[in-house]
Amino acid sequence: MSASGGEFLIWKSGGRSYGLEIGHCREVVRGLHVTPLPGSPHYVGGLVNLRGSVVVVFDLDVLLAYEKEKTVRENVSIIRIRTHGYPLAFIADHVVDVTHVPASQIETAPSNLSEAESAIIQAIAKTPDGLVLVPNIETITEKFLTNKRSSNA
Amino acid sequence: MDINYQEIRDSFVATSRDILQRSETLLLEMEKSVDANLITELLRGLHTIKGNAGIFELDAVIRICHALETRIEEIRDKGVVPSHDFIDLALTALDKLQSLIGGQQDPSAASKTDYEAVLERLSAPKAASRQATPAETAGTLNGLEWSKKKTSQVRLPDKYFELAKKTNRFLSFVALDLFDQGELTVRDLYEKLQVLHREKSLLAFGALPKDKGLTSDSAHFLPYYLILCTNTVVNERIAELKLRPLICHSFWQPGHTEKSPEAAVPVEPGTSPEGKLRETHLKVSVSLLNNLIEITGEIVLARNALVRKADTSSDQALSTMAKKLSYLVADLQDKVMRTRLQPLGILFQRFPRLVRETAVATGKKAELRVTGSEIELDKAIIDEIADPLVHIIRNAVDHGMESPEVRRRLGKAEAGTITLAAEMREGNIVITVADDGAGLDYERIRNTAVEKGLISRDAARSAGEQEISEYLFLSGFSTKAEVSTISGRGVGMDVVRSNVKSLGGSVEISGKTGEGTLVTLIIPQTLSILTCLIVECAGFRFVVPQQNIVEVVKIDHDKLKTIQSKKAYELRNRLLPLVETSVLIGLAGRSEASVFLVLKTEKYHFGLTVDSILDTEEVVVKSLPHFNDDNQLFAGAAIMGDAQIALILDAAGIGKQANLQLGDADRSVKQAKLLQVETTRHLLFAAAGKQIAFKIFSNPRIERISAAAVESVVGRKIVNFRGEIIPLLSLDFLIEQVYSADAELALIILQSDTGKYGILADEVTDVISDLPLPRRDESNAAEIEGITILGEATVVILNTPYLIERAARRNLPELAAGARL
Repeated sequence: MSASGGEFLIWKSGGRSYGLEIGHCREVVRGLHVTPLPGSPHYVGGLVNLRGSVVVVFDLDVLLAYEKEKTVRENVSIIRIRTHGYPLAFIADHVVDVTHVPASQIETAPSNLSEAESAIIQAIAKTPDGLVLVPNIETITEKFLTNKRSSNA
Repeated sequence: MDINYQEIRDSFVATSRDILQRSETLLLEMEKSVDANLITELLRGLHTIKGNAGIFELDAVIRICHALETRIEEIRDKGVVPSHDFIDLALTALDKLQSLIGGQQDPSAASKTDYEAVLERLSAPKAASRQATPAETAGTLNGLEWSKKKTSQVRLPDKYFELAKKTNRFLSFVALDLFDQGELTVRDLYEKLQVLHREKSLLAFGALPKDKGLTSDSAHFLPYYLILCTNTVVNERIAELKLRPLICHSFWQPGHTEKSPEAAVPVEPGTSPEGKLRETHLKVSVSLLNNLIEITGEIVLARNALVRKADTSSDQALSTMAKKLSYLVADLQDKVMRTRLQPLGILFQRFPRLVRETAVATGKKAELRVTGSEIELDKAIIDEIADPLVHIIRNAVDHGMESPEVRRRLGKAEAGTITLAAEMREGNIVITVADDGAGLDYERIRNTAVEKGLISRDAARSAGEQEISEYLFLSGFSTKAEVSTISGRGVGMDVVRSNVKSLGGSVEISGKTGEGTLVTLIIPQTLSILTCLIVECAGFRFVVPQQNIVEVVKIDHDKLKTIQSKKAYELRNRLLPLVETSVLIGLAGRSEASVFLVLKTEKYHFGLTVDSILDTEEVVVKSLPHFNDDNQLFAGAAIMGDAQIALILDAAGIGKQANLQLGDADRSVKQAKLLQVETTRHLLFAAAGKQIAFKIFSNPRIERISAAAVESVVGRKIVNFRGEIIPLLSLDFLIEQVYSADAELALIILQSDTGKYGILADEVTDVISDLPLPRRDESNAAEIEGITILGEATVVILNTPYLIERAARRNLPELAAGARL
């Protein structure tokens, strides 16, 4: 994040707001069919086909232990993230907007977070519409997705 | 007119690498016997490299090649098997060449001392009879000789040959001394070149680099070269233009088969080996091929979607077109997939040298035998298994082989044999590395495992050999006392396993102490497009690779069995373990299995129940994300014709997950059969108000008799049945069988090895094929196999074999007693 803050893509999921600097986001895709991946961890919503490549979809609400498990199959919106490893996307209930958040409004994650939260949340951005959780892409890909190869990317 | 330097250079590096690799093999064969053909091929190869290196002015390469050639010619002339040291030296020289050619971007700048040591060793021992190396003779060369020498080293890029062949013209290399063109001025020369250029004859020209060692009067020697593609013989064309060439060297003439440069300038014998290959083979970059494969994959998907659409369409023409396209695409796909296949020999040819060097380093003697080099495998897979194989083979020499002295003492041949074999089995490639060395020392592995705290001593003692050998795959596990440069660090087998696993394969190690070790690698020949069966289960679609499917069977519910709470199916008198897909994967939806697929992998043989079969389709395999707890049920994901994703079931993974701990398929069948015999049908009968059953082992006869037919002879009950005396098995330990004389009874007649025996019953109730397993207590009498519950009633299961045996035993003394009476 530069000193002047940055442009953030804000989306809602499970009633919470999440945001990512747009540099991290590759695309927003709506109306997808999600194929569940049996035997995978709960935070894995499943797989989607994005123009011939298989993308794994994570549910941040479950990853952060806010919710147990959700079943989403049809008409799902996702935010595809720029990663080097296996193609990754987050489930979104709906995408709100792209907003400029000044640096002064971005705070590092408070220390009283739960274990699940502190591993994943990098910062909290304050916007006129409320607080936005900013996930840490690096830790998420490192900790929860152990693919070495990216044959699909 | 410019030559794409980088392209030529890449092709040079690639060609040289192939030649060097081949040379290595040849050298190793030379060590065994000197065959003129071997030497000729070797010389030819080196000569080619030397010639090519000339273009790039790789002085070091030229000199090493030359020195090596000289030495090898010497060997050829003498006809003696070269010494061990010489082979070592020659191999080092090859390595040096490899690194000079491939290693640096600018090999001409390679440090001199680096290669000169090799060069010195190559030329040293034969200083007296040595032929002059180019560096030394150069001092006495005049311009003409110099040019000849240079020309003999020139190789022209392939594209010139292609051009000449296509236009059916002469391809030649002409060297001229610009200082020696008589009356011609530079301007005239320029005009002449222009003429050549206009008629598209001049392919390239430039100054020939001069090197030191020309005669002193060569200060006025300005060598230029022209590469010409002319309609007439080059000498004539040059004469027409009044040029005075130093050398006219024809590379290719129309109407002839390809001419090797040496034909025109007979400096050294041998023809260029790629000459023949040039027309049939093409070097293509791997990334381009991969692109091609990816695109083909997408085409296949698009084809599938189109065919689906066309099938439901009423447009006849569309349907025909779709079909035609479908055939073409299938063909395309087949061909494209084959471009990536390479024979395993490419990998295997590296190993003789590896074995030799490891053997030398460890003071052992070993020979390598290779079979199955012709089997073709995807290049990516070959690359991936190269390192594991190197490791395994090295291990075989270092750990496996005993020293020659020990081997002699044991009565084995001094030189150990390592057999590297590859074969195709059920869609898998099975590569085995076997040695006839010391084998696995299970005791030592046990001890090491205990020392490292991996297993308790008791557990280690009772663990089987298979289980113990698994420890060899743990990181940091080495039984070798001292660490050597080659092995013993305990890093290795774990890496081998993880590499092979990443390919979806497996590694196993086994062997008898003292007799050798066998390492088996099983690698799926998975290409990225698979022919699959699409099945449905609980509303999910799954893809099962055709290569694992033996047959598809419709479930006949009468043939479903449950053995120790595991499902099985009686298929043509064999009991096949059944895995229920919905249960295994944990699908929430309702599943009603109507068919099952008989799947066979290297290890497992089982049935997989599914709700229905949808289709066969070719799918592109996409990798799955890996999470920390790897699930092994799926081999990948496939994008279907309707653009949705279906998961590809991994037969081997399912076998493992379903805990079919039956080792190999044969054993599973055997064990299943054993269970079948133990649990099959029970005959249920009622006697004195009790439900009693026994296992049927031979077909019992059931007869109705009157209680009057039961007699008591010497304290034993017998039945006189149609003139035959049948001893009754007494059930006194269980019930009291007292019948009134007019009661009608059932007599169950059992046939055993020792004769016929009968059991009296009030009534035979049923034959049950699926009796719940008996509960067996220590307190149970030997006569009873156990007690179980059927419906509401308690059923006592008789141990009939025991009863019969006891009755047979009692027969003898009692008869004797009877005789006394």
